[in-house]
Amino acid sequence: MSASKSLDRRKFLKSSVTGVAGIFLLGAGGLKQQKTEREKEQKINRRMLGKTGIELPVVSMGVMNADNPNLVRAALDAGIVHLDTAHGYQRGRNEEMIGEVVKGRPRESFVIATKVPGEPRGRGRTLSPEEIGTEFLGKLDISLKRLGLDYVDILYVHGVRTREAALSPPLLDALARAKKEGKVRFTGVSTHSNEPEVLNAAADSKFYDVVLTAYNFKQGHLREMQEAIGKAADAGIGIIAMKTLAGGFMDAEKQQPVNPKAALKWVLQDPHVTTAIPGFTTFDQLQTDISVMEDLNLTEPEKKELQLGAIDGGFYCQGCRQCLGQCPERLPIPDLMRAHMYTYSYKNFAEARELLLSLDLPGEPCGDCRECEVKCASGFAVGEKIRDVVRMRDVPGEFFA
Amino acid sequence: MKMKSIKTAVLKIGGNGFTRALATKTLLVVLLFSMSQFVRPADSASSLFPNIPGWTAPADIQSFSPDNLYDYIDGASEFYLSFDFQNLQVGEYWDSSNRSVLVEIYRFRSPVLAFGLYSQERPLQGNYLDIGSQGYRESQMLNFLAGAYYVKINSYDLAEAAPPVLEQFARAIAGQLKRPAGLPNILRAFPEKGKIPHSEKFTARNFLGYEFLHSGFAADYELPDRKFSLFILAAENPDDARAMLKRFPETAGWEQPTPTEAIIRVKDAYLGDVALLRKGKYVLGALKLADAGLQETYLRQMAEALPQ
Repeated sequence: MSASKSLDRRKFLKSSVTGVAGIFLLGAGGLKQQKTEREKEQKINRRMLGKTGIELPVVSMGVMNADNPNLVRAALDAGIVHLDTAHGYQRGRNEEMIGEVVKGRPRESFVIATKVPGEPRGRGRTLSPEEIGTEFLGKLDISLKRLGLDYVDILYVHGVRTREAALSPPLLDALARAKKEGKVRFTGVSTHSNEPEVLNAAADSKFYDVVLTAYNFKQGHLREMQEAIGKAADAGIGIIAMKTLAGGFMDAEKQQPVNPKAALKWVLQDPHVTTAIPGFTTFDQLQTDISVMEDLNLTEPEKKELQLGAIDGGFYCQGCRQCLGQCPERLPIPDLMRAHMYTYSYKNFAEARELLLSLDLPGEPCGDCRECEVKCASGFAVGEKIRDVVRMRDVPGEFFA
Repeated sequence: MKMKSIKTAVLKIGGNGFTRALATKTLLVVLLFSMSQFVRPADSASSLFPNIPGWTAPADIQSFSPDNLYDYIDGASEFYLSFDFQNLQVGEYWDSSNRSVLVEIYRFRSPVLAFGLYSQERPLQGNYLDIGSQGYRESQMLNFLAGAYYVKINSYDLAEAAPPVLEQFARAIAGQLKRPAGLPNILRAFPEKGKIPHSEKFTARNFLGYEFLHSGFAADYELPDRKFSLFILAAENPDDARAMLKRFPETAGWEQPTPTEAIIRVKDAYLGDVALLRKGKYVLGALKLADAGLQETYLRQMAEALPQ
């Protein structure tokens, strides 16, 4: 272990956990006071979760891989607020462990999400709507008992893959009933397959509050993901990201591990994402993720490690909007990057031209700038791309008809 | 011999028709013999799903690998992969009343890893049964461990008839798997006094939240006045065990222990009181047990009971 790492660890223990050995002796009041002091020391990035009114640190904990209550305790004491579990994880032992950890903590000091499957497998026959609702709510009751809670903050329909499943009337009825009975504050769907369709369904539903979605720098359908996430966020839905490590490896041979810090930062560059739920299992990984809570800046070496240039041939703008304040001409850079992608990646010239004309750009968009001052989070040569793409405006529309 | 090289060899056979046929037959015999070395009978789907009187065996058996396990169990799959999950076979039995029993057979890389996942999912209190290595039943389901296999049997239509039917299935499948009974031997090293039944667990990675501890066994204890845990780490050899022991207090940010002490005592920032003792390639530990006398008693007992 390097000296600096060791020092960092000790500093972390001292500042963020505030000598965790002592937390076993603290009552609720002590914890609250401890948290306040910690918040003064830390600059935790927080974001609102859609229209729920819940404000969360940008890093949360996916508890699915953890069997260690000390780790969950340390996460909460280090500033993590939101714990994500599921009815099925470890056949309920995961929820029981969380229940033990949160016992005695002020209820408003943590946010618990759990998931119940909407389509029970292995039935061999179609269940009636009544059976679907009864089974779903029965599982919720079991989860609440395991967690030792009267309510969960977010209840997801687990593993939704289609629009039809997201909008299943018996499930929507069951969720509405759970909300009415005070067992659930907010409802959502979780999805890691066919995510854009599920996100769009949630946005159209006018029902769901949150979507937990797989989202990472390696997804092959990033454009659709970004658009669907944007649409859902615009509809007031809170977006929580999972699978941010993209399977953990850069290569199919699993020889080159993903830089977890960089991957986590990448997904949080999207302002529509409220928080992410990395499934850390060590105190070191917790320390790394906590550092992201305080510093979201995706550094040049980190961008290089994620090989962002290789994604979508280097054309995909992730829409982080960090560039917006940098351009002296106040150009709509994300839109221009999208037009560039339409032109040079999708070869959809008509759509690119239409988008460019809709932006109402000046004749010489870059004005007097000889060198572009914009530093793109994805490493794009922004000025160069703008100069290339704006020429599309001069091509007659009939040319693409 | 690999398929490709055999195919190439067949294509390269020259000579007249008779010699070609003879050579091809010889190669096929070699091919079949070679394949028999790789395919164990217990791994073939049909042999995993026995015929059960009164029930129609599965017509289709679904198979899942580490690459697509999430298609079947969603986000829970990551946890299974951390125990070196190898394969899942799923089949559904039917009876004449249109009732079904779903059988899921998970295979892991070793019996210890299978025990690990099983131990993370089993309840402390349950209707435990002497099936396979160990099993238990809960209302409409029965789960059991058999060597490197972890079997889950579910039915949703049997109501009161469930217990005998599920046991019938479990015993038939366990008989088919033919794996030796009993849990990993090392668990016998955990002293019985105060041990909470069925609390023994195996964690395959990042034991206690520290990457350098790799994997470990743990059991929970309850005495009238205290609760604590004991654990066993099995290193590759005594040198590795020494190295592991040395890193423990260093990583936790505490001073090195007095080298003359047989039992090392640290106050870990995350884990609280930890007492450690090395014996050969094993590192034994007690968590949240501050009483030095009890530390001594339990750790010495464990050291005596370790497998040779």
